[in-house]
Amino acid sequence: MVIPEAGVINDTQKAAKLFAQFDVPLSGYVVNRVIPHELLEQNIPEYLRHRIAMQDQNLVGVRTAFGDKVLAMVPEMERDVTGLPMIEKLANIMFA
Amino acid sequence: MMGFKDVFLQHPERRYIMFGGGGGVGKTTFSAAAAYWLASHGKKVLVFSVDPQASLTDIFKRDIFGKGPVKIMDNLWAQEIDADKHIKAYQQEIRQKILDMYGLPAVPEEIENYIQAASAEPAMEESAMFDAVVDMVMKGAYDYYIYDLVPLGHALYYLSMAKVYDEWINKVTKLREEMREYEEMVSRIRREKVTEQDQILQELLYIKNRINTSAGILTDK
Repeated sequence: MVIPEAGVINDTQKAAKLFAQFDVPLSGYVVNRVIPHELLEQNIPEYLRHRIAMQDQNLVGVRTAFGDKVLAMVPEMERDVTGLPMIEKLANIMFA
Repeated sequence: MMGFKDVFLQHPERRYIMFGGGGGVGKTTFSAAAAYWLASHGKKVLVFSVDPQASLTDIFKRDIFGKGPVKIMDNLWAQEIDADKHIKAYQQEIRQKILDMYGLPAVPEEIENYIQAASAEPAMEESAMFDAVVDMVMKGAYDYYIYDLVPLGHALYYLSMAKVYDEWINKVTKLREEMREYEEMVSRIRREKVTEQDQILQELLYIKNRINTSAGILTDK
């Protein structure tokens, strides 16, 4: 699992190398906490626009690092995932 | 492009699902969501946590800590392993084995001190967790086991230890087997019956089998 932050991408690459050293195969990568792009069409603060631009850049990094091993992109949810209805919502996005 | 769902559909033989990653990337949440999806598609699923800071309890809004597998809904069980409880059981087991193997009436004080000191080590907690997990997966009662993994470092540390243990156990096992051959020869010459089982050898083979089982799961071999 990875999130669109430069440090986490680096750590994940290092970890993947270590897993390979120990013969642990990886099915793929899942990107979590992606801020939805649709927000750009709304009247949102500069702060959030910058966060989205930063994530866009890091998502290019994710593609470069993990290529077609990326299995899913999951948005940052509007609130904590607790309770079955929210879990169901997340599951339906993951397994879409 | 292969999607997340495709991995499950194309590889039904992959029954042990592990989400790895650094802290705060959403491992526990994803474990719960994957478990939910599989269970709602008719698979019998156990999602469990070996992380002392795990929050399956928060995510499912159910107090499941140290209660064994708790049914969340049809086909879905969740479990949070209580390391302390396992460490205590583990200590007791070690005491019992020492008593049985050496035929002692009580555990000698210096060994008891050693057991106490060893329990304070993080390795003891990991070992206890490992044991609990192996017990669960070896029973094979579920279609899917979803591990909410501890942060990456721990998982790799465990794997590296598995290799060391395995080599060490191999050596000791071989030595003990050779010893046994000589003992049998001596017994034959003396015309004595060999009935006594080598308990230590049995124990080593048992541990080796468990380590190999879980290393096999992790390495898909």
